[in-house]
Amino acid sequence: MPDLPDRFIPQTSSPAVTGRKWYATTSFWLVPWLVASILGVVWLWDYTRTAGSDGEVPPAWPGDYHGKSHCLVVALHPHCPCSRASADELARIAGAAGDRFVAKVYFFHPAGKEAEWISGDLRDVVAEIPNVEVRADPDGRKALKFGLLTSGAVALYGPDGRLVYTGGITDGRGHSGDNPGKLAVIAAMRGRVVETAREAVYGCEIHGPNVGPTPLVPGEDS
Amino acid sequence: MSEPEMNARAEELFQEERNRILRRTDKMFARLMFAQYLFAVGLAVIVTPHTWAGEEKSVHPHLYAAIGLGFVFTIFPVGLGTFRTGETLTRHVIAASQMLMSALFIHLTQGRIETHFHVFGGLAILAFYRDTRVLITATLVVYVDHLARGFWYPQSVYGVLTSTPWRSFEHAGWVLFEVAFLIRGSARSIDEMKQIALNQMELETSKASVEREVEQRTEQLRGRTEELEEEVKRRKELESQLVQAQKMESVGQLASGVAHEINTPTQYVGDNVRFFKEGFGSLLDLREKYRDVIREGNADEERLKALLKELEEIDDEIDLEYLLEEVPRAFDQTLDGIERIADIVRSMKSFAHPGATEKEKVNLGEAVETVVTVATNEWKYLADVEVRIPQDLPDLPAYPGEFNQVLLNLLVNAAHAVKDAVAADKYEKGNIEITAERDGDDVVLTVKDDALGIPEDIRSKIFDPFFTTKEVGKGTGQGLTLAHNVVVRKHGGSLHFETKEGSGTTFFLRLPL
Repeated sequence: MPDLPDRFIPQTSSPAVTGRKWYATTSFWLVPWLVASILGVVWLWDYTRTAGSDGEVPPAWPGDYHGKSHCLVVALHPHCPCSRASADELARIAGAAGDRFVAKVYFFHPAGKEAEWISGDLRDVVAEIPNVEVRADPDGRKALKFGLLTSGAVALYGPDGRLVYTGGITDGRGHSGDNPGKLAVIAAMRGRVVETAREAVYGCEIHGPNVGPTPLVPGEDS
Repeated sequence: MSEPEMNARAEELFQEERNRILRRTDKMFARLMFAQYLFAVGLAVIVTPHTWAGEEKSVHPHLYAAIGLGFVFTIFPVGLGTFRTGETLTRHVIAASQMLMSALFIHLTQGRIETHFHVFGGLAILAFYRDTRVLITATLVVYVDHLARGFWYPQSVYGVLTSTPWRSFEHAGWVLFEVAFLIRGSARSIDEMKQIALNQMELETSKASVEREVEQRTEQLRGRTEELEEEVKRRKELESQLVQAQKMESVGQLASGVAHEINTPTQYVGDNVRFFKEGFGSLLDLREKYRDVIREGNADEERLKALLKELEEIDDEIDLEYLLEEVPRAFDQTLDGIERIADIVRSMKSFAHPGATEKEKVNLGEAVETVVTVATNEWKYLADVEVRIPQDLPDLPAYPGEFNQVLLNLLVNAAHAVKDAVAADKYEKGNIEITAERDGDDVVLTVKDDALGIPEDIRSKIFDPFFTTKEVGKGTGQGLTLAHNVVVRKHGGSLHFETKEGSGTTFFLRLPL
């Protein structure tokens, strides 16, 4: 507006006439509102960033390892809403690693439940990822065997059968995006040196309360 | 309006418009935030209803967050946006809440990258306020969120790899990129509003100036209209006075004729009365002789013979036979004469009356009869006047005095035309016909003479004021002009004529019933 005359310089502050009493009242409520909002956000962050349980992950592939490359073992709870982010990250890892990507995904399947109990959106998404072997995990025994107690937990074994990385591949509950765990898995599959050997994992408990890690059974194949 | 006043008015207009926008946007956000709250709860119910531990499930904290935290985020801005629109605090609270709701949505959608668009969408909608400070508040909330997480939950922002911290700058960059353009857009919008306020102020100033001008002109026109109305009124009064004056002039001109008309019956009425007086005296003498005979009934024969002789002489002297024959005729003639005088006087009185100021019902037959009577001396020795007015003709709404003057003018003009024809030896006596007939809602009165007609070269002038063919002192040239004005302007009628040289002229007077 180049033609705007200098003589007209309107104020840009609010023209509303405000009573001091009202402002004082509103300001009084503004403080607790801000506090409540901040506390709520902090609580939400805290929940998001609260890691699940870590199990004792075998440092080497239980039994003889017959693979020719890295193998990623993933444990998922089929109804965990947070694990959709893990599935998304798994797909990204597959895309980044290419042919070197091999994964076994175990879906928790309680005894007595029908086969449909594990079917759903999460399973469908995972099943579409190339080089992924999807298996039902009755009572979560396989997950226990690999020390994966939280949905979304992974254990990456190298071609030599030794544990390269374990933990989560997301940076929070249900949060996709770059994170150290995912980057470590990709780096390892690409044959690079992995700086991060263990990260926190975010998701639902796979086995429920009162379930402890099951000792490894030597010789039992995965 | 002085320049400071104009500036003040422009400022006022700008602030009015700005306040309207702020209030409208506050209300829009109040509705939007309430809708977002409902959506957040629905989203949590659908996406993250439960969290699991083995076979056991429990309500997902996201659902609590949607209901509880969403409520906290929503209630305050919705309340302010509903009840305290236009306040500075309101829109800043709304800006902060909108960004907090974005954070909540990102959590509820499991951190989907698409949900980050909610931040950018929210900033764009906040730009509706056209208040750069609101955008700054929203941006600060976004950055405080990042900074706080960086401080307390560093991994969620910076992670451990060297590439991760740049992601937060990337986020910041995109937000700043949008906010920079939104701020620029808001500033331009404010400038446009200022220009509109200035334009509107100038428009108002022009409008006020035009209104003042119109008001002054209207006042002037009102004054002129009043003057014109006064003039029209004065002219109407003058016209009426002129008609009345002409009538009086006519009365004056007719006076000698009228006097003559009255004189003739007066003379023979006087003669007859004197005849009655003489006859009555003779009868009294005869009666005395009869009484003498009766008184002296016993007188001697000689005396009686003498009395009888005297009686016969008196009888012969008074010519009783003649009296018995002539007195009744003289009575009739006297009564006729008196009635004639009464008629003339009544007609003069009726004619000379100033007349009503409002229209009255006028009997056309009576009006014509009056005029014919008062103008008798104008035509009596020159023409025979024949009047044929139907009895069943309805009365006319007219001004009686002025209407009579019109009739008189037409009749006298006809009489004068006949007089010219007589003078030109066309005949010894002419004819004038006055007839009337109904034509739809009008009455048409015709005055026809068999004189010489109107020469072609003056036909177009005969209604002109002061035009006359009569010798000086005989006509003013106002008769037909006034007649035309009275008929057309005052009665809504028409007056025209047909003429043929050597054959005569007929005037047609048409008046609405």
